[in-house]
Amino acid sequence: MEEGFNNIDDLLRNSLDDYQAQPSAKVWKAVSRSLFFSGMGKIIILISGIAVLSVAAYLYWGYSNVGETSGSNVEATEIGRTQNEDMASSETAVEGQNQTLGKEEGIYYENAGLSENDVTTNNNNLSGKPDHDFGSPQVEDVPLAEISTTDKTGEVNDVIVTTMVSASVASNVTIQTNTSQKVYPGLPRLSEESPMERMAIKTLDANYLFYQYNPIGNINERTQFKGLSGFPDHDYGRAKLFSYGVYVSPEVIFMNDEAKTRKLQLNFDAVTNYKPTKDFYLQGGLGIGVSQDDGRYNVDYEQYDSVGYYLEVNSYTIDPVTGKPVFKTSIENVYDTVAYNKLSLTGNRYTYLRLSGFMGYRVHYAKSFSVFVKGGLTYSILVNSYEPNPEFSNGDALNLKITKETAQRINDTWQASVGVGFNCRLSNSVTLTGEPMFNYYLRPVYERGYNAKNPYSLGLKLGLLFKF
Amino acid sequence: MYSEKELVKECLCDNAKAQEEFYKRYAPKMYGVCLRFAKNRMEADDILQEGFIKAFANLKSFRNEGSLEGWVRRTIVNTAINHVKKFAKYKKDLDIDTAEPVQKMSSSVVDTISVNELLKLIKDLPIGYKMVFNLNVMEGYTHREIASLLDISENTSKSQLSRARHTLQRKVNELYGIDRS
Repeated sequence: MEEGFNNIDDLLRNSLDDYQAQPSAKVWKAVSRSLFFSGMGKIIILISGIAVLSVAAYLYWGYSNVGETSGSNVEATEIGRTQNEDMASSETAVEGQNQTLGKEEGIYYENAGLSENDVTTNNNNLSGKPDHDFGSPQVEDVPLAEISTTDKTGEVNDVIVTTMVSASVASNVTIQTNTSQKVYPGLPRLSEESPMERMAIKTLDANYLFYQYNPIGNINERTQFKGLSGFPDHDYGRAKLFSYGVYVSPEVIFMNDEAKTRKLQLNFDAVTNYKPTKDFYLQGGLGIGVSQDDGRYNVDYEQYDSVGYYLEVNSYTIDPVTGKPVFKTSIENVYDTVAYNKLSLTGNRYTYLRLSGFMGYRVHYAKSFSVFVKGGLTYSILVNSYEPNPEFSNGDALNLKITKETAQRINDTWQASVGVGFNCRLSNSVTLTGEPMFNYYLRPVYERGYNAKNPYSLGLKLGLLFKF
Repeated sequence: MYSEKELVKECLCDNAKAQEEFYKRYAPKMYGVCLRFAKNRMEADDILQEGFIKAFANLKSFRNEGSLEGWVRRTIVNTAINHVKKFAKYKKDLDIDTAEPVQKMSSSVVDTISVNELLKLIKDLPIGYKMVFNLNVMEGYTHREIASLLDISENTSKSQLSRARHTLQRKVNELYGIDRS
């Protein structure tokens, strides 16, 4: 009997062990789609992570480096710049106490006796017209002792001044300060005795402090003088109240369910920014979001099938030796209607109309790069659902019953979003922006009963902002 | 054409071309395995799809110990077991071995049976028999392993195998008119 067993085992093993068949093309499609979504999810998370780390590192190291050079006795010198000059040609030098900065052609210095505290201006490639006219330069001879300020710790620091000089106009610009009067380029002498002028001095001094701790950021900081005559609002002369933008933002949604399901959504948004102040802005947007999800169908059917066998007694004889009956049997298969159940998945697609409102605040900027924090709400309305029917083909199936178990999407939902972003100015009118965002759904995306918990998502908003 | 190691490495780097080659290299053979476990081609498609998604997701756990094909095969078989356990209602028959003698078949009989017919014989087995037969005879699992995988006792596994063999033997006899007396 054992030999017989081995025989049937060998027959089947030898025949079927290397058996190959070609699966349906749909299988690879489904597998590759799954791989694509899995890969996309990884890329989005990776890019978001890198962006967040880059911004964090930039902020940390940027401020740390400033701290190292912002002790007492620091002079900051800004290089003059013409209107069409590339930003890259601008540079800032930070020098130690008493160090004499290079004086190049076209730079004029007065108050040469102020060796420690005078305004030093360096200039490279000065040509063409200056981008700003600071008005008539004013020169004040101020005794050395009067050009000191006292910091919070009570230590006396040398005055730090920053200015711009145009070689073509051969202007000699000097900013000087003393305890009772201050003179800034393009401004009349300011006296601390007048309340109004005292306020102006405070404003300008605040800018001075800003320079002290941000020596590398002194190009755009000229906007600190906004509103004061003789100073432009912006380096580019294009400060606008409104700007407009387009975003594309892939998003990985963590459904927060037991199976740790993840879904992908792709959003396209058009936005308008309103910037009432230098750092604060409001953003309103309109867009669409396309979300992928699985459709689930429970397929119940019956099929006539073998459920077992029994031994049928065909005849019997009485053993003459033992006197017991000996049965001659045959195996009879038993067939019955067997119930089967299978789950069929389809690829569904949902389209949402998105209305968003955000507030943002610029926390740091240097040259053409700025960092901001942002938060707001997005209201999504389901406008289209694509739910294909399940595919099922079995000619032997009886009493086929297909039950739709697709989690029903709710018609509208709210998301609260926070994020850190960066802007990189590409030109006077175009800015590239990237914003890793964390979004929390204030309501579940499915009807009650399918998923009780609120999902959350990580997304990366990439876009372009335009000023016209 | 990637070597096994290169294929694994490239797939782990999300190289789409390598992933497609991985699939094309192993899918036909794995589909043959799926067909033995499944009731029909549609179910086999589902098992294969689920199995390959799992294989790609867990490929980082493959340590180049043993063949990649063996590793993929184990993944597919485990997927098939889970699939069957999840969706089919298979009976756990009582542990009764039959005393029916099993005959040795002549090589001429074996030669006349086509692979598709043999496959159908296995597919038509009751699901409990089919699972045990596939795992023990075709995949080389021990009764202890099968018992653990299917949540049944070792004796049940043995009896299911015995019955599967008898059923297969009888069907072969019926198909090819072998005299059992």
